Amino acid sequence: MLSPWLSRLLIAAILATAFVSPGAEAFGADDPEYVKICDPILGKCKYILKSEIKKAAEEKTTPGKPAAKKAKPVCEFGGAAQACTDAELGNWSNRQQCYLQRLTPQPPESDPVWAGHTDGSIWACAREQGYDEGRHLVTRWVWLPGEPDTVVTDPVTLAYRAVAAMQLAPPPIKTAPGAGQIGLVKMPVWLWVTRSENTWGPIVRSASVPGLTVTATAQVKAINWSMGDGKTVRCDGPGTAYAKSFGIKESPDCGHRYRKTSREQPNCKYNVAATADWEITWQSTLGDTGQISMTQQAATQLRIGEAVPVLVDPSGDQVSVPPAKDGC
Amino acid sequence: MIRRPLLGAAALCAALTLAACNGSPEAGRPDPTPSAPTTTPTPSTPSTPALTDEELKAIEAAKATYVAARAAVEKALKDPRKSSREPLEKAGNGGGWLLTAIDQIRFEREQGWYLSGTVKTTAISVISVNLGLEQPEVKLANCIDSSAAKTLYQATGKPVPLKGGDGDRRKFESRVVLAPPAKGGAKMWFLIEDKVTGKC
Repeated sequence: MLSPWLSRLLIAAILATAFVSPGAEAFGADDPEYVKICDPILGKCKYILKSEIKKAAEEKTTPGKPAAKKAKPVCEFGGAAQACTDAELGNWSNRQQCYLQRLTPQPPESDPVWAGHTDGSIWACAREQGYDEGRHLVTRWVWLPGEPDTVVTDPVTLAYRAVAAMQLAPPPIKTAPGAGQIGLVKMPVWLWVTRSENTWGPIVRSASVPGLTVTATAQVKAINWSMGDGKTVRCDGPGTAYAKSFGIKESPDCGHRYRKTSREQPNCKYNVAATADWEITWQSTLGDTGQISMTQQAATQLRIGEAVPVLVDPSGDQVSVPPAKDGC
Repeated sequence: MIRRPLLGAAALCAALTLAACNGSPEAGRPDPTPSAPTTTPTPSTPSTPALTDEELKAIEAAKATYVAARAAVEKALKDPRKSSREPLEKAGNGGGWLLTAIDQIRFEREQGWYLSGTVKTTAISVISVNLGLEQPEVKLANCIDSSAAKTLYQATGKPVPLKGGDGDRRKFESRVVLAPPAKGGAKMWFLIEDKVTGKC
């Protein structure tokens, strides 16, 4: 049996326990287990156990298996790989070490951030930093005279820019017999390409953004000649230009012999297409490398006839030639 | 055009509801016959000058932008995983405030939190209007009431154990400016600053 005093104490203790909700245990603002987090949208600050805050920063910087060819990340923050684009913050600048996006609206020209400049733009330079209270943006405004040095492109895109600067052209194809001449079945046809830097290579061009340059080298690997008779001739070199002094002999490296005349072809000619296979290799100043394949095509037409017996009257100049069957 | 401080109006409107402020015959214009004593910002201008139609329109537009911009941020906080920058900008969030909002949205996304319930803007009053600036500007005072809102975990729907705090009704002072978007296009009103100044 409890004494009345002890009973009252017990009841008070039970009541006190009942009025403390499970989530309202006492804490002090200077409790090292808690961290103060402020919500600028709602305008209030509260406390939360540090253990409740995800340390996403640690997760993000966990090194993964490095790509075999990647010596250095394209976008980096203090040497650590950084996504080059952030949908909310803009594009990463290796020079500024932050994501840049043009501030909207632009501050008035009287704003000190312009520092007297009347050209260029003000950019929001933001990156995330992690603290006890979680990751938050660290933002500053920067004036830049033109477009920033953001790595908006990956090296592959820069490689394509370098290739575009090469102005690769279709192969200037030549044949013997030529386009205005008539060849003969079973006689050699010579095929070749006039070489130049941008039709055969090698050709080297570079494309850059601040902090990153990609150098590409292009060279034709082979030319595939589609002869129009169902046959394709692959020539690993440009071929040999024909000269009359060669007489009637086969091209040493790139040629063809038609088995049939072009009589049945549209316009009485074979449609000949030459496709140059470009092999393009590139490498970036940050160690990335890669290959690009590209083709360029050119076309011509070849008329192929056949040798027919010609009857010559030995007593005169009359020549008897069989009439063409189909107007070719 | 001179800057027109309207702190007397702000004090009056802050005591009223948003509807009362907007519903007056000339919304945003200070009551010419205040029933309660008000303070004037400068002794040399004891009476608030009458607002022009242009200023009244600017105030209405700025208020509408404030409400729309805030609503877009609140919507984003209700599902941070699906939020993006574009609707925030379109709704008139800009300048440093846009980055502040994005920061908070990203933080809650990263933490796996979201906002549930309703955040009320219970009073919008005018502090000043200045259409003579390079970027016409309206300063507003507002009360943000988040007493009916909670922060919950996305994964469980349970409340985030936030403790203590300084109250759910917070007074904000905001700057709304008229300027073209950085991408170009017609001028629009932007909420570029919204800072808490205390309780309301």
